[in-house]
Amino acid sequence: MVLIREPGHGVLLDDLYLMVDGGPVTYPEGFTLAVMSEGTEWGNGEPVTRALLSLMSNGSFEVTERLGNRSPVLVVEVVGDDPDGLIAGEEALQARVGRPIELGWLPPLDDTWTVFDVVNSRMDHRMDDQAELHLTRYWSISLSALPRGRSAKKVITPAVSVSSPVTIDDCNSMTGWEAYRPSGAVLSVVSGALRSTYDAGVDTGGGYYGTSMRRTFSTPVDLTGKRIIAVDWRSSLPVVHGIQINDLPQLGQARRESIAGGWTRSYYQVPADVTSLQKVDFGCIHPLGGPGQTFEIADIKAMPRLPFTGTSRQQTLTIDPVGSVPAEGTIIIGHPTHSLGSVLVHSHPFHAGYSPMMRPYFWNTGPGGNDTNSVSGKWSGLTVPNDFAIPSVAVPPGKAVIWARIACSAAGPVRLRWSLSSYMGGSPVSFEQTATSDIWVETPAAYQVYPIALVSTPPARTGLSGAIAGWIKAESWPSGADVAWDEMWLFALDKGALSYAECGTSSPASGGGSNRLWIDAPTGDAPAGGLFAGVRADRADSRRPGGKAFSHNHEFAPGGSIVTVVTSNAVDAEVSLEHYPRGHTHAPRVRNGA
Amino acid sequence: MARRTMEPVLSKWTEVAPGAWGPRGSTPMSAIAPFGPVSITYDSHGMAEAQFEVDPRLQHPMLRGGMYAQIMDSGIPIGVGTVVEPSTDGLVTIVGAWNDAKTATTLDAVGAPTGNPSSAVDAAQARGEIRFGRADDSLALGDWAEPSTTLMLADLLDDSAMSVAKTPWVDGYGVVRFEADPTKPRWTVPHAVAGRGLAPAEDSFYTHLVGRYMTLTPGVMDTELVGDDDAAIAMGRRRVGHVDLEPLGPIDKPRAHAEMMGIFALAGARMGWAEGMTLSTGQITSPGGEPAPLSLLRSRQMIRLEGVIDTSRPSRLEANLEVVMGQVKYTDGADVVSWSPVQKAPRSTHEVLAVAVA
Repeated sequence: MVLIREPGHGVLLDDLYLMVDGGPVTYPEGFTLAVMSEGTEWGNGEPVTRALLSLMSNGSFEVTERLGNRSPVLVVEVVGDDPDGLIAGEEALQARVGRPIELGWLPPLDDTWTVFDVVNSRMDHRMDDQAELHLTRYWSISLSALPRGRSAKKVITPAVSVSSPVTIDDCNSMTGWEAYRPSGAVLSVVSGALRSTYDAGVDTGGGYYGTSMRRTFSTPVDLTGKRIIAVDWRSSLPVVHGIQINDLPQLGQARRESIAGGWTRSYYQVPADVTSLQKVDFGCIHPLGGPGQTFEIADIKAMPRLPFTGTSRQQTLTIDPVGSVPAEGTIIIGHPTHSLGSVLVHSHPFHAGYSPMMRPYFWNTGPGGNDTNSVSGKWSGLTVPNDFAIPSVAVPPGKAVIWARIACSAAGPVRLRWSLSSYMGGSPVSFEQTATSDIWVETPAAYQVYPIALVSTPPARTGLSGAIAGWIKAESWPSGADVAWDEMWLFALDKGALSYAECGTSSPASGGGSNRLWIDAPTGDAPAGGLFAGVRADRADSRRPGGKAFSHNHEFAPGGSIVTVVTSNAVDAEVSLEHYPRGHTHAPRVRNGA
Repeated sequence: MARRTMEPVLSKWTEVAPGAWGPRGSTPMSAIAPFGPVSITYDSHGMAEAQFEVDPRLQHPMLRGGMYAQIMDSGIPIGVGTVVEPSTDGLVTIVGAWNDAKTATTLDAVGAPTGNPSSAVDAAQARGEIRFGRADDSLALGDWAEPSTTLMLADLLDDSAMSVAKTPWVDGYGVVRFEADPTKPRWTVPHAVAGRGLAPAEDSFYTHLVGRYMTLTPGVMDTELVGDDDAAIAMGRRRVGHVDLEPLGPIDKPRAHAEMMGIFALAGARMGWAEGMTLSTGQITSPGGEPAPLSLLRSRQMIRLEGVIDTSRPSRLEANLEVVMGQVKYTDGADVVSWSPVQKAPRSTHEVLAVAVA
């Protein structure tokens, strides 16, 4: 019985084996090739570093800007049966030198080939007169290759939804709870909610009236990856409410919604360094009142980020690529039946609680309503100021660009005015970034995405309780018309990357509406990267989308990055990243035929 | 290192309808060929120049001299201009749209000379002489100057704007507006970075301005004097500059006074500067202390050098030096930005010769 298996422990230059099973390779043309261990190396990508200018008195910071190419060297021994064989060996090597090829390396005892993308190479002869007498010649092949080693096969890493909210306490039992303020407060469970019944005339100290409840966890709750705590509460008097966890300062409120039955759902921002929950204090204060007041909590949940209000025409997903170094590849967005419409793709490393969608942070919007065909699920009038407030910690610092999806009932120019400042405790504490932006509405009563402004965030450095707040409104528009907005996005660009394309809304057809979009990272074949829209999965009918499409260079770090994808005409589009798993020098081991 | 986000978009500037010119067929550079980082220079009028590299052997129908170029940053346009014929070393240069005004005429829609800034801009755009237009009333100054066939549009706009203490600015959408100098700083430089401040220059320093104008009585000229007596006393002498108001045609004394006050507000009674600065990330912050994304700097923003005693005004001392940036140069993705203030006096040989030739 003959076992047919892949060669082990080998070196492959393009399609020419230089070594198999750790030994020489004989070719019918009359020569044998072997790789010498002395002088052979894979080289290393040289980091290009830059010292950062800083105001420090001693020491300096430096950053690695990028990696230069690595310089592998192969010392190859050619043994010929006769002088013709020696020449044949030289020709075989020469045919594969001086042009882009792949260099393969299979370490001993391994079954995963590592591939180096060779950009260029040269071969040098090493004269050895003793070896000439034995029909042996030595060649030194110096190559220049892209710095990171990769797998031989591409993998497709699907983007996955962020994890669902986790209930920390459903407030159906008093275990671990106490109402410690004011004296005389009584804790009970009523209709699935915890209720503190208290006398609002009892001073709780310092002239404040109100009540507080505390939940202590004997086993701390794991908050890793969860940056938002949501509390459903209700009070009999108008109150100012607040939450503290683990005796830390009060958490900033990220959003507040009214839900059925007179309940309020408040979302609070958890600081980035808090990974477990030992204690929750939730309470309220208000002016002097009478006895028999109630304050209730129905539910406490934790989640990675604010839930977006949406119709699944925009998704926040994570991509965790295989490999140990950042992955670049092709982002594939597709939908089985519908053209994608306006597509915005934004990738960004994890940043505690950051999500580009701005609608959850608007606390005051123009008159509007629900719209199941929109991206956010709602629409709001833009002819009055719409106000927003985003906790500063939820926005990555640096440069950002604001985009909006807007419709006007008549075609023509619309001027928007916007303002952005840092706020603390409800008051602005920074220089106000404000300007106007002009957009041109082409099609009346049709939503379109527009870039609005480049901003720097945050306007001022603040502590945890700071917010980035502002407003936006339409200042002038075609007379007699109305202006509405669907969703706005704050795309962070210092570490993030943004791509935009219009894929049409008509039924998918080759050359017409596209239900697939490919965003390619730069490669040797396409040094500027690429943006392709089409219908066929094999890209045969793909072409560059027209209009103002552009793509940045998207990179996904191992450990995960978030990618936000807006597809205005397709619900629940599939998003995945096709890439080579890469490592520093050796390809990661990938199982199951991936 | 910041990411590269700037991209030129090229189109043909053509008569899209009779009497109306505009861009046609926009093609982003990434659809043509790989290109190097875009270097953008702003001056007092908007984008002055943008440059980027391509393969020297590249030939493409959109990469020709005369094409209209718009520089986009993540979808937002930051400058417009015209492509100069690409050189043989692969460097493509785009000259800012304001440059068109330097050779544009000030004829109105029927071809008669006009001194009205609004009509002149509208007519020049309709004829295709300039690649920018106006969108608001900031240019509405009426018949400001005496019409003349030798009056260039750039001079008309510069002088009429200066009379109301403003400067023409062409934005990334190709719209020209008269804008006043900012009064609040947009960026801040901490004291440890630029504590010694900028070297002041006396070249354009005047305590008083005297202007000669034509009165409404034919053949009679008169003189108007404006100035800051306190500054003269503090300096120990009066330094007088001369302004020629004859291009305005016959005007009355209140108008002459108003024009002179506008010019004096922009330029007078403070010294200029002899140098600019090159700063990197972290050396320049928002007023709230957050490091500035360098690609957001442009000229005509105000920058404050903290803790630098401002000695440019002789009659008073300021604890911080606030200057309006006159020229800003930035390369996409780079970590440094260079800027120099408005009223930067020529000091290097290159600059002095440039002034002598102009």
